[in-house]
Amino acid sequence: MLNEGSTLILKGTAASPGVAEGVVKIVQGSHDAPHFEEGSILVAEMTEPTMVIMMNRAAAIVTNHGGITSHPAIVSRELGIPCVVNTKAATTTLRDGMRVRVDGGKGEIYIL
Amino acid sequence: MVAYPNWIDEHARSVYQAWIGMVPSQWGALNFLELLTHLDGTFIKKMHQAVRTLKKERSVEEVAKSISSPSVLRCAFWYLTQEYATAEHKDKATFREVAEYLVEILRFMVPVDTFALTQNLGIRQEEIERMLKETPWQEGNPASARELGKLYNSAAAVAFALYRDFFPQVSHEVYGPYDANSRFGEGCILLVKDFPDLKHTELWPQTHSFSIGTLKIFQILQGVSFSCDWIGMHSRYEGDLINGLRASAVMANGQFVSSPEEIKKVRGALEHAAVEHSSVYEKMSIDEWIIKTLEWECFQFINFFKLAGMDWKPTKEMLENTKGKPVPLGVSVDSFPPFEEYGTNPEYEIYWLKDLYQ
Repeated sequence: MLNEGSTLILKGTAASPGVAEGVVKIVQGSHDAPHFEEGSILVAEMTEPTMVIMMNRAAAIVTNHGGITSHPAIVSRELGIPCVVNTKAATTTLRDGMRVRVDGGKGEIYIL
Repeated sequence: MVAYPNWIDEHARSVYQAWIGMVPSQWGALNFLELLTHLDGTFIKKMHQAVRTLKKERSVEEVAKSISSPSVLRCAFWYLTQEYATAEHKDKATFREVAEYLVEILRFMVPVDTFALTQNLGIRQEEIERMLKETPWQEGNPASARELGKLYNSAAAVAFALYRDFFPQVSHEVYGPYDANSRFGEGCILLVKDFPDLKHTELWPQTHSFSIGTLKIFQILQGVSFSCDWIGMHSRYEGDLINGLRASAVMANGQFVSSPEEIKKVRGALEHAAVEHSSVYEKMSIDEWIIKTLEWECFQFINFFKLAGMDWKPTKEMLENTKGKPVPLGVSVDSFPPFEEYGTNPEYEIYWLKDLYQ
């Protein structure tokens, strides 16, 4: 599917509305923090407390798992950033450095 | 049809709605629901001892004040129903007495929508009026709204690090929505985000160096609706939280913090605490996780037990019943049955609550 020069690459549950574009950074824990730049798209199997600093810098959050009241979903709504959860395969479909658009209202991720 | 009290249906509807929005298979690290099956009524027995004393010696108001938030009591009640439903030796009279007393306390704490089907009104109206009048409100803007979001995330991360997936409500509660029109104009609501226990050396001696023990975030939102399910932190919004922030206030360690620099400093301390404490938990063995999980189960009632003149920690029976028992990592529940089945199938705890009245 094409949308303004982008291709739909992944879908999940829409957890926090808004649209953000940025560079993917797949994270596993606090050791990823030094390499996580402000405005990156945080991609993880699931968020956890060690990721707090990166979540505070992220432009959007995408996870493999989670429901609409899961940790990433609740926190993203408070941060006012888009979030898509339950994609099943974000950490295997997306790659570090990919430029993507996250539509948190539709639960869709586009590669740019 | 057997008659049973209405609160069982109220409780069931709220719990069910909450479960639909969650993915329990990702809860961890330890499968607490499995651990509960090994208790075989031993925590219920400890609770019953406290209930017997408190009913005789303390007022409902005093007991309600000993519990840190309504969501703690809602969750704890549900865990107790799980323990009872899976116990090999069921003592119906004992559990009924505990259940009815806890529901009485919860009704006192939250007279309206007690089980939080859509809202969590655990703060009395007179206290809300005082907050609206006396809080040193700062004018809201998108930048401050984003900073509050980061502050919230950081405090929530500490609560998550200290109490993990099954007990974060011990230090993470969201109250609201309250009508704030009288003070801020049409379409305004007040939310209170409360983190009452971000440092507790009785449970985690490692937290002695944490600089932030309590945090409250007060938000006035306009054109934003709020709802939750069963647990206050299960927040859902319609509207724009960033552009809808009309006013806010932050209280850390009981003192209002007003400048953006001070708020960022508090946030930094919380971020650091969350990361630091996560590594403490991750380094623990499975046997240590089992003991810590039992401690959490008791700790949520720490002041309740103290009020009853009891030690808050797990009993010898609780430790013996769980010692060496297999407790898997991660929860195996991936889906939930239709609501009617949830309320009638003996595989689920609601059946056993109704059975108390047969």
